Amino acid sequence: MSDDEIKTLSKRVRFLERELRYSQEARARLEDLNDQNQAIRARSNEELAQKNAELMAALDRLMRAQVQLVQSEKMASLGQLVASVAHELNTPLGAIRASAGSARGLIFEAVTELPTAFARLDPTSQLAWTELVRAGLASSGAPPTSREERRVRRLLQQELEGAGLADAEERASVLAELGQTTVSAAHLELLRSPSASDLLRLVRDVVSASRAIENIRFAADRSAKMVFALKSFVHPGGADGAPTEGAITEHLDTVLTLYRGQIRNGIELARDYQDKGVVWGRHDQLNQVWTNLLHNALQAMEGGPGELAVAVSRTPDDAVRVDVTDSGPGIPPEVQPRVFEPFFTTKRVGEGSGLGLSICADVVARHGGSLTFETRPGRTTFSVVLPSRPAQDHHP
Amino acid sequence: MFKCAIGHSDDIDTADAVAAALNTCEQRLEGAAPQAALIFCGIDYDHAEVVRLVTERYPGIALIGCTTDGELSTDLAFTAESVLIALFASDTATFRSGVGHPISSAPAAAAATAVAASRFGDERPSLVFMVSDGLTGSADAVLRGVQASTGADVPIVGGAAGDKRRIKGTFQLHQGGVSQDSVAVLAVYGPLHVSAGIESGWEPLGKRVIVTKSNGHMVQEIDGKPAIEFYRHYMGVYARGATMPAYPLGIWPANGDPFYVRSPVHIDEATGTVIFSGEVTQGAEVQMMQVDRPNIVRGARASIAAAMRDFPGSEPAVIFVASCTTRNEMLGTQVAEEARTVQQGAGDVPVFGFYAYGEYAPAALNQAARFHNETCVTVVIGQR
Repeated sequence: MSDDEIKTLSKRVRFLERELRYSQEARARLEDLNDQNQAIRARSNEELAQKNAELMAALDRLMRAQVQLVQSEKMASLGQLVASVAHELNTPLGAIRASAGSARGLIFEAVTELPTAFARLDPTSQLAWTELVRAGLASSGAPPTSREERRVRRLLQQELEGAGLADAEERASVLAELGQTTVSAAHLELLRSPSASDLLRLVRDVVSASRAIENIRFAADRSAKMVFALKSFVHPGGADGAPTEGAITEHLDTVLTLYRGQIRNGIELARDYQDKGVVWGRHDQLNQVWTNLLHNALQAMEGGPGELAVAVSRTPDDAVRVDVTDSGPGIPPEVQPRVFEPFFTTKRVGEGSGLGLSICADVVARHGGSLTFETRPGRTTFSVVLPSRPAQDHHP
Repeated sequence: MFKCAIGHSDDIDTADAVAAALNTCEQRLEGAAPQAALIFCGIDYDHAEVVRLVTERYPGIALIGCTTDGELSTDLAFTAESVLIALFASDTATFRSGVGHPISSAPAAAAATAVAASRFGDERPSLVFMVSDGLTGSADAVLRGVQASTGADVPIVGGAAGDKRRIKGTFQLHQGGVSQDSVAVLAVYGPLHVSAGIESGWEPLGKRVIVTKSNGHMVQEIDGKPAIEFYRHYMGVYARGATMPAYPLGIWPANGDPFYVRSPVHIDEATGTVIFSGEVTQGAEVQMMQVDRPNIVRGARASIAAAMRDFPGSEPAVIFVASCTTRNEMLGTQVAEEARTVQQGAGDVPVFGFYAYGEYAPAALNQAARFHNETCVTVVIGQR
């Protein structure tokens, strides 16, 4: 090998050594980068775990806040309901109080005065008096129409005048009130007795007392119905939290009963139940839906006459459809897309949390159903369609 | 007559490499006497020896150069370690060079010294080549210093010296020898046509935001939040370490010019500050940038296309390229593709250049030069 060849070869070897060195430098840089990336990955895993824990904690707090919000919304709608129920209970209670007071006075009067006046009657008149009392107690009170009452009173008055009795008009009125349509001979005998006026007044007292007691019973019945509605509103199903089978129409009626005070106020209620609407679900939650929809409908018609239509029907695919329609001004177009948005409300501060319809949509969705609406001025319908039994993946 | 002859050798011995490069140059000069030399060479050569050999052969030649992160030329495409010499000869142009230091502590004074040495009477240079230490001082400050002495409208092209990414020390070459922490300029006087292409291939990502707090190379706040958050928003946990330069900031100049690029080099996690390899002005409009390898090559293609399109003359003599070390690193084994792409765009015009730690070039010929990062700068030069 020549010197030149050796020199060239040696240069070549050194060149390759240089290339190798650069290659190793590049490799070392890559290894550094790799180490760095590994460190980043290790650290990122830690950071991710920490972030994850933070997110879980935040989620937990949010869920708790949500439960609280839903609870406070529930309390708010309960508040509205209680106001309506209080009003509804107050009316019969007032009637009971008034009737009890007057019955007490009337019975006291009758019991203290009756023996003396009764003793002064001959046996025939005593019998006639007793019959009058019996007839009075049996009669329902007011005659069918006031026109009919006037006619009967006039006839009685003519008969009494014909028999030459004094105070014919007043006595005819009392007899008519006691359900008499003619004047018998026994009555005339009784009316001619010296204590006739007292005795007639006492008959009236006894009958009035009885009617007052009847009123009390009626008012008590109405209150009991209200309390029953409240009870079935709060516990519409079986054990708390368990889905049960129930008829939506019954629950709607319960809510309508509770809202009766507001519905009566210039608003006409039209019920159209084509189906009992039996579905399997959490009826305590569904009641919140009915309450919200009915309350919103009533609020939409506040301050004026209106019509509230509640319809229940069964769809061809065996779902139950509930339509709540009001004749209010309708939902403005700009509000429509946000109707189910949580915390969105057009009500004044303190009147609504903006959660009502969002919760309704949530409850309906959890039952595998849908909540939709159609609106135009004068007619807004919220429709709930619920399957008779939610599919397996839904847990109401 | 304006000639630029290029010699490029990857011979492992400094003397042989210089000799080979100079021999090629002389052949190509066809007897013309060289007046100036631009030298780019690998970090492992004996740089003082390079300067000595060139000045020995051409006493009194105007010479500047620097170490790099790789050289590129028509002859060898890309080389990781080589000696690349460009010799200029002209009967209409005059060449003057100068060097100044220290740029880390006195950038303006160093620049002024370098420019003063490169003066040719009262003439305004038609082109200034500039190299500076890529690891010391602020390139922006040095450039401002040079511009203060030459006038802002003089076209300045060049780059910051590299050291094969060892980040230990770079060298600047000049006829007096070798220095560090310095700036060297080669001013060309005479009738020249010059055009430049400045393209990166990086693409904007996300929304434009404002740098709300910065100081030189340090950006403390973007969009009113710690700068680190801006990076974490886009890069997540990878907003640290060596991955960063792949996601530079695009800076949108207020005058509506295309964005220029600033490369993030370090994150101070304690303060949330991101440190860039160039200045980021407070109040600047910035945007996150992203790129892949095909787009880097696409950037080079766009750069040479723009430079050729804008060249006002009919006969380009040579094309100078300054590309970025990050582009080299990202292209990896495909790095030669960039040199080949530029050559395609240049046709038969010779191409030479280097991979720098930042590039100098004007956005347009009538505009002041700017310091760029991660950009492919191409400069077409020819006699007027």
